[in-house]
Amino acid sequence: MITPRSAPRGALVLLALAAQLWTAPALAAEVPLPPPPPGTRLLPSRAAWLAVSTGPFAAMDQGSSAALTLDYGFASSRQPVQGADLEWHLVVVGAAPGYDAALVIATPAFPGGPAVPTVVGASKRSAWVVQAVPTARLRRVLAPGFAIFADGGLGLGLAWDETVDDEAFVGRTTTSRATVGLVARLAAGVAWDATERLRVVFHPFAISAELGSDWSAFTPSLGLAFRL
Amino acid sequence: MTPAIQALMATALLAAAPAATTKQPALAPTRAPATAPAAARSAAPAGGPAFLPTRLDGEPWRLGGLTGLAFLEGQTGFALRGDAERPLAQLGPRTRALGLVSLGTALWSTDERVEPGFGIVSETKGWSALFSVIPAVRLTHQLDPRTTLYGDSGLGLAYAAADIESTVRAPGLPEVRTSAGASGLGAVLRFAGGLSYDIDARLRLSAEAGLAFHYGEVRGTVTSLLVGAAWRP
Repeated sequence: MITPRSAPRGALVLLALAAQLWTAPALAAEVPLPPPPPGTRLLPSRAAWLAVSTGPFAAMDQGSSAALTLDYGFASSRQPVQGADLEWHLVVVGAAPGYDAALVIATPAFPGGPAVPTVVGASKRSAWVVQAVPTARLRRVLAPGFAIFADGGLGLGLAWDETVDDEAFVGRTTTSRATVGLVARLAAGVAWDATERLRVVFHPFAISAELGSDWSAFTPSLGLAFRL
Repeated sequence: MTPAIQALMATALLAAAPAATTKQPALAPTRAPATAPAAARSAAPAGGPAFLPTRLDGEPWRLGGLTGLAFLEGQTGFALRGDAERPLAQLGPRTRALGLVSLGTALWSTDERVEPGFGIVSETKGWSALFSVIPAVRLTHQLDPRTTLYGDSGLGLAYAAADIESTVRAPGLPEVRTSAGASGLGAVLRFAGGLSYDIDARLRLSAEAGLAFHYGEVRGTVTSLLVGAAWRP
C-alpha cells in the first residue's frame, strides 16, 4: 500500500523500472558477443541469398544476347583460405543468343584472277541456352559491407539451337539440335551491401567454358542479391 | 533510499549511459566522419590494428563532367560524359571503393569525297551516336594529399544510332543518292583508369583512359581519352 510518506519512493521505483524497460533493448543490442573459444571463430548464421542479375551472353562467334542469371548461395562453415569465407552457390544462366549472317563464297573475278567474295545467301541462327553450375565462392570482406570474390564451378549446359540457311541454287536448309555439355565457370567480382538484406553484386569477369557444344560465353553481369 | 532502489537506479543509469553515447550496436560497421582526414579515419584503439576498414555511408555525392576523344574502328569522335560518384568503403589508409554512375555520349561523323576521274564524284556523309548509362565500381588510391590514382569497371546499357548518305554524280547521268540508317540497344562493359588532382576540397580535375566493349545490337570496342572536372557540394 502506498502511503503519502512512501509515495516519492514508489514513484522512484516506477521511474527506475520504466528507465530499465526503456533501455533494455538498447542494452541487449550493445552487449558484444563473448569471444569464441581458442581455436575457433565466429561464423555468420547460415543465411541464404538469392541473386538476380543480368548482362550480356557473348558466345564468341556464335552470337550474343542478354542473359538472366539466378544465383542461390549460402555460407559454408569452412574457411579454406585465411581471410576468405567459403560459400556454396548454384548459378543458373539463361540466354537466347543468335546471329544473322551472310553466306559468302570466294569466286575468281576472272579465270585465273584474284578471288572476290560473293554473297550467295543468308544464315540465321537462334538458340536457347541454359547453364546450371554448382559453384564455390571465396569471399573476402575488405571493409564492412564491401567484399571481393572469386567463383569456380563445374556444371551442365543445355542448348537448343536452330540454323536456317538460305543459299542460292541449294535452297533452304534447317538444322536443329539439342546438346548437353559440361560447363566450367570462372568468375570474379565485387559485392556491396546496400542494406542488411540487399546486396549489389557485380561480375566484371565471368566466363563459362562449355565442352561438348558451341556455347562457351563471356557473361559479365550486374544484379541484386536478396537475403532470404 | 533502499539498496534495491539504489541498485535499480544504478542499473538504469548504467544502461542509459552507453545508449546515449553510442548509437550503433557493437557489431555494426563503424562510420567515418565525412570531413575526417584519412589519418584520423585510420586511427584505431590502442593495441588494435593500425587500420580498420570502414563503411562510408554519409559522404556526399561528387558530380563531374568529362570530355575528350573516342576511337571506334579507326574513326575519331567526340565524347562527353557526366559522372556521379559516392564513397562506399574505406579499404585502406589511402584506398577507397566508390560507387559511380556514368551517363555518356560519343559522336562520330564521316564526310568523304572521292573523285576517281572522268568527272565522277562520290560523296559519303554520315554520323553515328552512342549513348550509355553505366553503373560502376571505382577503386582509388591516394598517391599524395592531392593526387589520386583510380580504376573502375562497370556494366550498363548502350544505345546507338547511325545514318549514312551516299551520292554519286557522273557527267551526263542522273545523280544516284542512297541512304541508310540503323539503331540498336546493347550492353556495354567498361574498364577505365586515370589520375585525379584536387584543386581544393571541392574541385577535382581528372584525366582517364577507358575501354568499352559492346554486346548485343551495338557492336564494337570504343577507346576513350577524357579530361574533366568534378565538384563536391
